[in-house]
Amino acid sequence: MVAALSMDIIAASVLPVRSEPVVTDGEVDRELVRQARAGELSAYDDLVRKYQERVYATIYHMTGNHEDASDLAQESFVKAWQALKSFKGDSSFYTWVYRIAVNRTINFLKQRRNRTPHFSLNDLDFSGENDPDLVALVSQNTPRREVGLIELQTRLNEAIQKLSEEHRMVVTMHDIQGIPHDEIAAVMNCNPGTVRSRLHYARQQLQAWLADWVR
Amino acid sequence: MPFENEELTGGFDGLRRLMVLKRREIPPPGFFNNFASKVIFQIEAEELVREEVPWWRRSLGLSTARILAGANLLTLCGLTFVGVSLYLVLSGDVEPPVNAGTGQSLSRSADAAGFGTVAGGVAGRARTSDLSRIFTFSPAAEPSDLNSAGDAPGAGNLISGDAIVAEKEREDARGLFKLGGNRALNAEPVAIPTYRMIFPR
Repeated sequence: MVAALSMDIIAASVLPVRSEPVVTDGEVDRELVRQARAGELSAYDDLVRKYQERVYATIYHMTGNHEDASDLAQESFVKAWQALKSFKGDSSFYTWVYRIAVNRTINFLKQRRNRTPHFSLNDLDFSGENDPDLVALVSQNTPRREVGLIELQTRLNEAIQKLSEEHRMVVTMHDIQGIPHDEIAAVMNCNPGTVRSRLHYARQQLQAWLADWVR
Repeated sequence: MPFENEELTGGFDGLRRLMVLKRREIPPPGFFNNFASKVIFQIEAEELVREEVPWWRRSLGLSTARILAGANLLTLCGLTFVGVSLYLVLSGDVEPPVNAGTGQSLSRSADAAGFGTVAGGVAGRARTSDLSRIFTFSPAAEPSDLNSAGDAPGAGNLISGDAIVAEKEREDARGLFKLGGNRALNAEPVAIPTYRMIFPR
């Protein structure tokens, strides 16, 4: 014990203390943004790879359609590249690109309002069968698990699509993606209090529409 | 997860379990492998297109669609202007344009060139009456008009411009012939000598 301690002391005195700079996520992003603004597409490629899943998921849950989500996510990143010169760095790149995606999605949904949304669940890799929570939930409601899951998913998507764009966005970002209130407020350019009240209202609506499943 | 803290007690526990289902919806395997490449490819393609667009269009932010729309609008305005001008000339509110060099009515010179005109310079009654059904002519613009060269024998033949001017000057000197758009069109039907055909020797 004493020997081990003394060895540590010796090592500490002999070996120089390596002061590795702690690079935070924000600093990495800032550096990538700086390089991308200088025209380096490889840096922007890294940024896209970093946030593609989150941006896609948000758009997908808003539109309920894989093709639309794919197109909108792609457009959002292209638009972000074109507007990169106007990015002042007041917020994080993630918040900024998210805001672009959210605005484009809301515009798209407003244009699509007269059309019936087409859910493309078949295109998605749905692996809910193994979730114990879901298995319990479905077995309570229907005798056949597979049929019950599909029906439940369809009902859930229909209910989410009934919400207004703003309420749907809040539910998607908070309840599905787990983004905190203040970040949602930054993305949606409103107060955290507004986010909370929208969230509460949206949940009430969803609970009423899905009363058969939510007990 | 947000539901696991303060909102959990808000009575939305069942809804929380349902939302798990949404988190399971992910795109087909391999979708994200190509996604970034597609974005970069699209960016490069748009940069190429941008480079081909002239600098003045880029600086003005004009797209092809906008330019086409502007051109269409201009054409429409032009056509409207021409239509209104033509209507005013035909209805006699505006004097027909006069050739500066010869002092000769353009309608008459056009008629002489074999095109025929509608402002009283029409060669032949039939044509005048056809147009009367379409446009409103003042009665004074009917055959007794100064320009009614169609009544003259041999109307439609080419008349030398200098010969007409010379003849007109002679008529003016006699005080029988007064040239003037409105005055001519609105003149009372009086016996006015018709043009004589003067062929250069």
